[in-house]
Amino acid sequence: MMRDRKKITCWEGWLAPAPIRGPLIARSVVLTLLFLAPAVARAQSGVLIPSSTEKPDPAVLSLDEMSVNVLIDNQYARVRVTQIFGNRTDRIQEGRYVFLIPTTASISDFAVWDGDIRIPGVILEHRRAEEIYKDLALQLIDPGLLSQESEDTANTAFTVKVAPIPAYGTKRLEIEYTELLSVDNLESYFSFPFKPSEYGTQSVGHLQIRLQITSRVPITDLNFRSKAYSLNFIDNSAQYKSSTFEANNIQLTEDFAFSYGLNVRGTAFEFLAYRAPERISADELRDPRLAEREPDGYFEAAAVFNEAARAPGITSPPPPRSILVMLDTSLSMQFEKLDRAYEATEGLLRSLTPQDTFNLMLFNDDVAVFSNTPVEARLDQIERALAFIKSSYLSGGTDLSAALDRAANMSRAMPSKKERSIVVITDGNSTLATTRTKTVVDRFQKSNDAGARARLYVFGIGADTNLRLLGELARASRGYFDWTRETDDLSFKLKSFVGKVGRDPIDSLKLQNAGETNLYQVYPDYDATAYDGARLSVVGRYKRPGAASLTLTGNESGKPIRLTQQVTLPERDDSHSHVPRMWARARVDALLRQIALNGESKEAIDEIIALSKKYKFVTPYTSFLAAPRSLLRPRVIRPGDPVLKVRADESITEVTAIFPFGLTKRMHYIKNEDVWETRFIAPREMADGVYHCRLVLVDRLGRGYQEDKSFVIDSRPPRLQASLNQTVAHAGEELMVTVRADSDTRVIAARVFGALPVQVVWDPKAKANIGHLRIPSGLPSGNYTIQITAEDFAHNSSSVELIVEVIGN
Amino acid sequence: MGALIHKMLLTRGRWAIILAVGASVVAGAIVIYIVRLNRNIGGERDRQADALRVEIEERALRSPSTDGLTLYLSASDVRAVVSFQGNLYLATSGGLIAVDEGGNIKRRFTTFDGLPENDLTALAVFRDKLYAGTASTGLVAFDGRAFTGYRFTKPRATRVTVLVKSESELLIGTLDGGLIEYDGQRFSRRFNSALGADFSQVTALLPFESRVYIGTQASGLYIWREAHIEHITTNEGLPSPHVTGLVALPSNFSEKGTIAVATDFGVAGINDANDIKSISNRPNLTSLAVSAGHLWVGLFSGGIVDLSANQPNQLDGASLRKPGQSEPVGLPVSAPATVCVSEGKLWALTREGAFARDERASRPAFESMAESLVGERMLTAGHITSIANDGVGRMWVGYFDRGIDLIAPETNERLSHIEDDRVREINHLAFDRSEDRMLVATSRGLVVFGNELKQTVMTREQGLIHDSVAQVSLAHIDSPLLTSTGGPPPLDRLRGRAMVLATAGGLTEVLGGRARSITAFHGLASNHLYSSVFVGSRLFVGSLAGLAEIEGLRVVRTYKTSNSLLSHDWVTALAEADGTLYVGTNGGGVDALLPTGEWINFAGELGKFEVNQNAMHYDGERLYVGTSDRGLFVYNTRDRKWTRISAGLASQNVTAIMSDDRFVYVGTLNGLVRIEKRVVG
Repeated sequence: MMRDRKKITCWEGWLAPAPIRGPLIARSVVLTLLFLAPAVARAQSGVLIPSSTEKPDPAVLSLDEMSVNVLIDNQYARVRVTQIFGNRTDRIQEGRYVFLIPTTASISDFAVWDGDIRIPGVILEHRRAEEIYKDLALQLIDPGLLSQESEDTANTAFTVKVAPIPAYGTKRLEIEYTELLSVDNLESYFSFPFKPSEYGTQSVGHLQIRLQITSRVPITDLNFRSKAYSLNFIDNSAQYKSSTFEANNIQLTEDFAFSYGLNVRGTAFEFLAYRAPERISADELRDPRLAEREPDGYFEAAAVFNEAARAPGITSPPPPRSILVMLDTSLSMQFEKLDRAYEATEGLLRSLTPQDTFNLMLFNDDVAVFSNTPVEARLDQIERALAFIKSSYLSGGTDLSAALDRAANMSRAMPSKKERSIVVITDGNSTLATTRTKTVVDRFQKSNDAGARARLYVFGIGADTNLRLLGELARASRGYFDWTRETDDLSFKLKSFVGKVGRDPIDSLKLQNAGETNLYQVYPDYDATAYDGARLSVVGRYKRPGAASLTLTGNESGKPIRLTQQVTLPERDDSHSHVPRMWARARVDALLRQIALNGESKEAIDEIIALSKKYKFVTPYTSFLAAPRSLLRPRVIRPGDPVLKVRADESITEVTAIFPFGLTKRMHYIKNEDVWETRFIAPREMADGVYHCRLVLVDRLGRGYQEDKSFVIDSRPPRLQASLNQTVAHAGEELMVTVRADSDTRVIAARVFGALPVQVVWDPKAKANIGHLRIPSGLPSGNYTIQITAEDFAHNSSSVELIVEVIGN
Repeated sequence: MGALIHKMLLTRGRWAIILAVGASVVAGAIVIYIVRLNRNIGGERDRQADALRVEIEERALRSPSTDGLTLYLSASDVRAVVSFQGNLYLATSGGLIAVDEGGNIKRRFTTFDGLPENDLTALAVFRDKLYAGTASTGLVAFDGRAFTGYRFTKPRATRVTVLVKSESELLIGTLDGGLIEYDGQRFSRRFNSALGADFSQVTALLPFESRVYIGTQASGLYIWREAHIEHITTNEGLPSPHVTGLVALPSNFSEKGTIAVATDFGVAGINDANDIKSISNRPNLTSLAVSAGHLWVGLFSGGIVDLSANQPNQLDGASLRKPGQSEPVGLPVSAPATVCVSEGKLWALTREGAFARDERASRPAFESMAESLVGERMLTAGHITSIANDGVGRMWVGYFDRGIDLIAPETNERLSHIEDDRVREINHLAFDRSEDRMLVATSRGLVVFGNELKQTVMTREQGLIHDSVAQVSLAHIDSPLLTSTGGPPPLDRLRGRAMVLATAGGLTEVLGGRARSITAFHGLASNHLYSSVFVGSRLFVGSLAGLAEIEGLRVVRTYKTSNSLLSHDWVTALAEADGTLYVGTNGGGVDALLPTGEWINFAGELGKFEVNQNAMHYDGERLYVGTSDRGLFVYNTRDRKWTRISAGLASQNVTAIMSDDRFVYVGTLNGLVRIEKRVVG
């Protein structure tokens, strides 16, 4: 069976698979362990795993209490979670806390309690974090602080070592994150990840959820996606909702998720402001840049666009579109990134109708074009285009500039039914020819301006997506940019993205303050673009309290839009405390954009670091302090790589691996990769399963450190048993696919000709994985193959096929 | 009244019957209980007897026929030393070596002399016999003339780690079957069957007074004391759960305890009451020995150290590692060293030979014993992964993790050894005759050796889909380009043959300096590829999940157990012979795909077995198949007959095969055998 788990790997406890029983070399296992790199986790939120076990064990550490406070203030969600774990044993315990937040969110606070003392996590600039680590390591003190993973790990997981947890005592943990909820088609969606994942269903002694939503614009009733948490509403008005949920001994089987609509009859304008004496923390007092109180206020002016006067959730059919799809097939797009990029391309192509025209370009160090001339988006052409991608190959690096030049030329040959769109699906990691953001953007603008202009819609794929470059490219053509990590379920983002391609946006949006210079540092600081049904937020600062007249101007399809509102810039108002943080984030983004275009400056970096520390968010120049020894962890490994790798900090001079089957191997240091490496063979008797490996590390002063790691040997692709609820179906009918798979199966998908693949997910009631696959309504009669593919955490994959007889309409 | 009496009588009778029935039921229950109790007692007695019983296969070991066979072993890795019948005997990676007092080798005993394997791990003399532990085939006894082999079948114990003689028994520590005792007549498991003795991975043993100290791989220390087991773990203060050595402490360490326990994370002393005191927190210790009142430890990182030098005040690791501190001279700097005492000498046993000095000698330097073990060796290591001949007659031998040796086959001379960060973990060697270059597939990319051994490296940076390259094959010079899809071939075709790399992340084709790759996304059964071979214009690729047929760098067909007669989805080796594709699998043995598309399974004839990665070779007449435990299978493609070669091989685990006009070279897990083709079927 497969449980629906987010695709994350967990440091220590899961090391993915590998190898491999069987032939000698293949039998070896590759582990990759990172030292300073932050941890990754495949787990639901708020799990405390005893060091002695591989998974949560309520007999050792139980989750006694949990409270989740969700406050959504005009689309800005602040989620605060408090958990109290109890040690059920007569021994002191230590554990590893894993918390997984939505990928669009960022941690704003974390604290672990040591008795009555609250120990907060801290934001530090990278260099300082490293220095502190070294100091602590020299004193043999385990820093034990929070770490946010990033790099190639592609998920937003936080882990922290928690110790000691006294015998029969408790340990209190707090975490807070913030998330700006997007609005699409006047709808917004929120989800808190309770759902079981890597570590199975967690139960909690007492659960309390508090939800508050305030909104300047009326909102609809909440549409809950989960049934497990039946809220008791204290207030349920159109602009304020307050509700609670409490239960004892509850199993956390579902996410706490809901959507709601922004019920505006036409385009609405909102205004929030914040001005209050700043609180300076003891830590900030040490830094003159942070200790200075700033008297100026902050504001957020936002517009919810509803030019078509639609109800929430209602979309209008798109106009005829001419779309050139550019898919990056360079080497950096391999594995999950390629899968997600294909999924995005398939989603886009299948959203087209025969009134649309399209072409497809694959680019790496070269360019391959699907058709010499644009083709009508008929089903057979779409299938041909998808087959064209499957028959391609990965090669070399990415010459993004050359590909964009070619695309600009090709787009001119496309019929201008309304406007031409170029959709780029890439990680944006250009490696060939020009790689400077400004040069790439300028060159594309020049090519694009040479003839009929195309609008660029960029969908970034991968945790390492070059956000600055791709964002600038989209901005330069007044297009749209969004991105996803390769491990995300991209259905929600893709639907939103595809819904915008080829539609006229609301363009040239800017906020003006009638003749005054009272407002400053207003972001975005360029003409913005938005779509009908979405919300645009503008943040800034003001010097003097008083009345102001704000005007948001723009145009949609040549029709001017002008929203004016008389507002009061308050002398004192601390009711929307998130506004300064929003502004700080926007200011940092603007500085990062400036750096991407013009290079680094000391002033910009200093300001980024100062704002990051003050408002507690991670930037490319700051991080939570990592505790290397406790964060040593493996990464995903795959069969066939008979190598163990460890990345250690520079003070380490010897690394020895002690394997569970009696082998002790000294690791070699590979200087140019900065990793320690050795190769080993697992005995053929070793069955698939979890094994432990110890590492002994010696630093330059001769001090030793030992780590107990575990890894999983998984040499077998997932075994599948699949069935359909009916073997004969009419075109347009929905089929239920039932799949039983091994427990380590990560993802299952079912696909049929002419339709988007559907995810087959764990259904606790059916005790099987269930997917609902709709036969395309235009499918002619005949026998069709339903292909079910599954992949496990070792990236072993397998597939089964079922035949369905389709009766065409 | 009468009716009343009658009624009473009836009632009494009824009661009597009820009582009688009740008594019978109680009696029956008691009987059943007693029977069951007896059965349980009997069952428990049987269980205990069963736990004590050790089943073995004993056989006299005789020299196999070695006509036409030449064995090449690396015996420089010395694991144990004892004195027996006037000679020193060394247990090595290349067999048993008898050495005279002067350090001269008198005799080598190998599989050619009947040893079940050459990889020996431990030695002990017990009741006039020399016992040697092996790495995978149990115990061997030697009476000075002949060998006797003991394989432990219950419990299954193949890897002997330590042999120690107690007053009346030989204690046999194994890594997979726990502790076994031998009294000269019978094997038993008295210690391991005691309550709480739940260990199976024994790494160190020390009989001391009436106790036995048992060190384990991952669960600390067990002490057998008066028929009871006591368990000491890190919770009680042991530095690490991995015990590497045990020794009785000399008197000058008495305040630390009676026994020293070495672990991979320090040394602790333990007294009779099981109180533990730290002696050293130096990590990476391999062994312990007491010599002339000094406590010595062997280091995994190389060398040995006298802990007494810091006794009692400065025994921490930091002080021991001070730069410039002198350590015994004469030992290899970086080779892991095991320290032991034998025949009045302090020994340091290393991968680079054995070194000794008199316990009470004034000179601190160690002297090399049996120097020729190192000096005359042809092979750097044992585990061979690939063999290939180059254009000037040199034989290239690739190792699992020790780089490459270049050997002159005529003289058996090692011409050079190549080992660096890149060229260390070798998967496959292929000679490109058209370009006069050796292609070396490694876990860190493809390394191309050109003239004068100049290296060119290809990694992900140069366009490979993955750095871990399992195998490389070359397209036939006249075969169509993989990437050609019709039309005239590009000019760069003339600049060399297409090279195909099977990697852990997919398939990469390199041609004219350009790399193109396909993965599971493009239809490969898996990204984890192990082997590839051209059959005409078609390329076949073996993977973890099936066999793919590729034309024009497009997957045109995938063979799996579910859609063909392929025996196992995991394809590890491929070879082409006259248009027929031979497919080696991990667990299904060998299959053949005929040019007609028909499949032939050889499992009925040979059984199912594991073919090692790329351990298949066709010499124009015979197909050679290397297995993980059955030696070498040879298929004569003319008369379609299989033969098996196992006797005389360096190991039954055959990992690499290469042939020339006269010989077949068979690389194994532990050495190389050259076989004259005249003796091959």
